[in-house]
Amino acid sequence: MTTKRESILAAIRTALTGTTGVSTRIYRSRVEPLARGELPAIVVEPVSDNAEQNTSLPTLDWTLNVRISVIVRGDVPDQVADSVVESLHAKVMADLTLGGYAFDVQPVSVSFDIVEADQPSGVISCDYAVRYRTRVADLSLSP
Amino acid sequence: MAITEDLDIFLADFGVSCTAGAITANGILDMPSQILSDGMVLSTDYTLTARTSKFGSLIRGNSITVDGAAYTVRETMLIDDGKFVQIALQKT
Repeated sequence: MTTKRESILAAIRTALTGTTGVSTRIYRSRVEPLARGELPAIVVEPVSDNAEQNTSLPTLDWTLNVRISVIVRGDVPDQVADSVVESLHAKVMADLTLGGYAFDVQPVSVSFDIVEADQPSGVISCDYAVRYRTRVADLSLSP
Repeated sequence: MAITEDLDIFLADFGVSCTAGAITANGILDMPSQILSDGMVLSTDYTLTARTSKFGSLIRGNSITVDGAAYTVRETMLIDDGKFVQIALQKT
């Protein structure tokens, strides 16, 4: 069985298909750096996953923090990334259940890392909190 | 005894031809790879070492051709006694 966490990450990856400007350059937790010819691109990765037991029922309420990073090159990197960010946000928020695995998706923050490179480079990180629920003893099943 | 330096000798062996505007002179191009932004971006640190008297007045955005390839100047910094500059480049 697959944990709901993994299913949610896969669902986000799938939902991002067709994001403006990135073609097929959408990666899950890619650890290798991206070269100039591979941009713009998107990297989806988990940041943290925190559990709470809010009732006496054998269920856990989880908040999965997911980072969707847009990596671009251009004279004004954040400007270059703007249409990509707009597009990915619309796709992530289009189905707040992410195919039935979650019960809510909330935008958390956007941060910008703009650096000097052989062409100015930017990493725009869009963080989302995904709320979902599992059984206490089984991370793959809904209550 | 005074020593007369010929700075062009420094650039003679490993230098390549560089042209910016009407000026053509030799410079040494280094291009090591570098990883930026917490491991997410792979870049090339193009740096040209040349005589200040030739290319020291270049500023951000100026064009320069190095060994036949077009580059744009990012920044120009004097090194040591100021007779040479290191020019950070981006490939155009």
